[in-house]
Amino acid sequence: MGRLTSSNGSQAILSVRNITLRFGGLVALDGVSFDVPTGRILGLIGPNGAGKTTMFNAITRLYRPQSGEIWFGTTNILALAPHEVPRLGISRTFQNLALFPSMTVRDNIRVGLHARTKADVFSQALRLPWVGREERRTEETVDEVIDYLGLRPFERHPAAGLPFGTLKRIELARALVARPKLLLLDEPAGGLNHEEVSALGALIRDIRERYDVTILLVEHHMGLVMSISDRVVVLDFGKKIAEGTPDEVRRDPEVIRAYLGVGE
Amino acid sequence: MTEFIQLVLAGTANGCIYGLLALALVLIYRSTHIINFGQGEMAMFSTYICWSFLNAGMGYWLAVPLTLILAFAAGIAVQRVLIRPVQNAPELTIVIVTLGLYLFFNSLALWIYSGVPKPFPLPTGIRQASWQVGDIFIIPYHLFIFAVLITLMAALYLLFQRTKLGLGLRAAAAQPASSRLVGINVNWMLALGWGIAAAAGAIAGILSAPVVQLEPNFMATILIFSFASATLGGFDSPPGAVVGGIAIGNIVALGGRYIEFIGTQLDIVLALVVIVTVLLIRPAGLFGRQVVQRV
Amino acid sequence: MELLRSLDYRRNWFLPLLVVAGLVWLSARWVDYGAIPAVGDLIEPFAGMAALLSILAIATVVAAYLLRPVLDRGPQAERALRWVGYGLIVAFFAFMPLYVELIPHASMLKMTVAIQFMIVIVGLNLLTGFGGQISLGQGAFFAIGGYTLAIGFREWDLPWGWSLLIAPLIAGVLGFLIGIPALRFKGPYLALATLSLAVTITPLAKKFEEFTGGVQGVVMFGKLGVPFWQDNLDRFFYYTTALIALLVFILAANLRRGRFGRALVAIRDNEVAASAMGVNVALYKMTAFGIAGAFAGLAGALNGVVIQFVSPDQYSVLLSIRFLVGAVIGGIATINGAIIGGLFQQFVPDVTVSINKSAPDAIQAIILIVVMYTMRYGVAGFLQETWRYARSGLRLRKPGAGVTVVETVVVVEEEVVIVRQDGGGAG
Repeated sequence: MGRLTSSNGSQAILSVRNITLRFGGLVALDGVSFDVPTGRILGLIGPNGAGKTTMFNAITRLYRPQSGEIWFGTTNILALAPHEVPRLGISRTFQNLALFPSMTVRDNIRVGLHARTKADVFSQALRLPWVGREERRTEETVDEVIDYLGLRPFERHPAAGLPFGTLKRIELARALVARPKLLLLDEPAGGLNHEEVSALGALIRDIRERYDVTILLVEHHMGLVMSISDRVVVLDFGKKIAEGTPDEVRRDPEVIRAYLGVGE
Repeated sequence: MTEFIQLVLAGTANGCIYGLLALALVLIYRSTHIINFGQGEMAMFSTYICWSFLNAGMGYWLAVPLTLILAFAAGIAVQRVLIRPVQNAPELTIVIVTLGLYLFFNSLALWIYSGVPKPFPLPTGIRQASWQVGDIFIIPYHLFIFAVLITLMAALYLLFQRTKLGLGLRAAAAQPASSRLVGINVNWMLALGWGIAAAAGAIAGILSAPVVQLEPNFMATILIFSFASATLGGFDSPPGAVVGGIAIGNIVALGGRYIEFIGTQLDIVLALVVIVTVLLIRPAGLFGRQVVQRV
Repeated sequence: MELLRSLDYRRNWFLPLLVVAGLVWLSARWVDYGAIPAVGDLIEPFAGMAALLSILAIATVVAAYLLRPVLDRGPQAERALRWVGYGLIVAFFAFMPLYVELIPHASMLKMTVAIQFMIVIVGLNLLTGFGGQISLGQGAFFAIGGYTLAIGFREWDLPWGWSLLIAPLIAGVLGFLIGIPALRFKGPYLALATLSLAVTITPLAKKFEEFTGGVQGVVMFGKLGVPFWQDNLDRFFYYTTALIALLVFILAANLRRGRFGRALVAIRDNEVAASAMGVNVALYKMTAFGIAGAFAGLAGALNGVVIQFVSPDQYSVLLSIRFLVGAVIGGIATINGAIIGGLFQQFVPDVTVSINKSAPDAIQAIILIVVMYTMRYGVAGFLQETWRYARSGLRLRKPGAGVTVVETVVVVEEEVVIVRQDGGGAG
């Protein structure tokens, strides 16, 4: 058995249907389907190489799956260009940090609002009044996020050279500033120590409440995933092997076999 | 048909020269991922050095090896002194430094030797008159150029594939970090690469000087054709560079004759067309390895 | 090599440099440097430039010291001071006729051409400095501007004012379109592809003789009417150019500090991440090419108006190289660098050409390489660093000033290009 089908009543904000993605001969994702229920935290877990980050890259259109569909509400994400995805209200962070090292922390976060602002090149060159108003709104939104995540001391500092934990927070701020409907977090606990991880768990829950956002979480840290996720999807070798509440998944024999003792 | 064959012969001879300079570009690109915009001007300056030797009464077969040794040493010096400090700098910085080399050698030659074209002799022992085979005229010097190219390719093949030094050179180019771990002096290997490239470039300059006149800008056009050759053959493939060179030589010779619009003035446009087409259709070139990038 | 690398602004090398330059200048009365073989003629110009640079740097430090009371009042004061600085620069160019004769080697005409260079370089700053797209082809757009003017004049008697409007449009659209193939090229490949574009323009202009006048070019001497100051054309064209340049600088600064500029830098830093933030990478790169092309085209048309002559040999590859060199020496990632770059490209060749007619390029080459080692962000970047260094030094000396951030922190307003090797994409 082992396969638990999703249906817990609430509407799905994101539906992944039969996604298959190959790199040459290597099948990275093999017919994966799952739903991300609105307003919930969904954990996506699996051993190394299971295809978690690949799934993220497919959702944000950095990769193009060979077959399958990804629906965000009524929009088919696979029909979009990568830069159009954030405009739907999808933000993400990266596993290996993808900040803009030469820009200041503040500018990094400002770029996060790119998809939410409109100033075109001509209006901006002439700095038409509405562009000025838009910039002021940008500043307010950025200020709010900077204060929320405690980045004020670093705001004028270039991103390069800051400690790892701070960089992770900057990435989170850059994703949050766009007020996304769906937030994709790729290994937010990677590289953090024990206390930082528990603080992160609280932060992620708080973000969900405060910004009213649905969260899809890829994470290695089993303790974190199991404690904050409403539902969990387990991938192994590109296939979905289980889905359910954390408790259901923890007891699933397939999952136990896949992890073979790994876990906490 | 006769004319066609004649054009192909001339195009191939020119192409060999493009191929040689392209080879120099490729040797440097392969090891350091730098496109040396100063390569042609370094070759031009070497050719002037050779001219100075000849002018001082030295024999051709003494002056040329001497020049090559100097060019080799100069290539090493340029890498050690100028390039190494910016090896890890952003691409723009490196491009600018090699442009500095371009400007420097170009203006230095103009300064020392003036812009007046200098006659450059054919190698001693190569006769001026051509052989006639049927309707086709074969110019001995063209055969000489071809022979030099083949010899050089063979020598480089032996150096890279059959000697320990060559192994070190290839290792340093492919995996600098691991090479360092196994005790290869990567910095010197890269410098040697520049030396070999400078010598190859010098050969290209010396070979083409008797055909076109020796003046400070004579390598500028050849450099563009060589860029096109290296792009066509693939910037990381030495044989590709040579094949690309011969192909470009023929494209230019035939295109200039049979495409009326191009004529002799716009042959450079052909180079541009080739560069852009190749980079659009097959960026790695004919013989280059396609690098699959994972995001 | 260690010596060269240790010549770092952090060790205040501009002071000893000034001393050396001063010694050279003083001793020139007794020592005939020109008699030294090979390099003799170069010593004095180099000493002069070194002295100028050191004086600028020292003036920066002194200014940082003197203005301390104002600056410590906070960011508003700093901003106000920056506007004062801009005001001074504008005033310097606005009152040029009053003292242009006092500046060695300068004239209204040369200043006009220098400002035209600045217009091109501002475009390059956006494209290469912020966008990270190396272009060696700006000379081609400059030529397109020049020929828009020349062909309009020759074929249709088009007033040159119209050409100034049309030239940037044509060059901009062409730049935008050339951005399409350029999307496929990265780093040195892009430099190579744009270089071959620059090489192509001269033979093309010679080829289409019936429009371009071929090698003879198009002569417009005395045929371009001006509405006033007919007796002082140099002044008229100077102010025309300067006003247009002011406009271009304002446009560029607006672009730089808003959404567009941030997106460009984001693309330069990390294309994948930029795209994940919703930046249409292809469109932005093409737009940057278009803007840089439009600026170059505008400057080219202005240049044709001022020189009143357009011929293919004005637009050699060297011109394109000079634009990039000027941009880099001035400071590629700062808009102010364009001013320094333009002045440098006009006056350094002019001063050094008396040594030998090929000396300017040789000297530029040496300066270029030295600048790349000692101040990677050009003169403007160097002065900015000096300023910040002086500011933080002064601040640190003050006890209890409450500087909590690590002392190596350099507060960056106009950001600095960070070394980035390939990779860095998301896993």
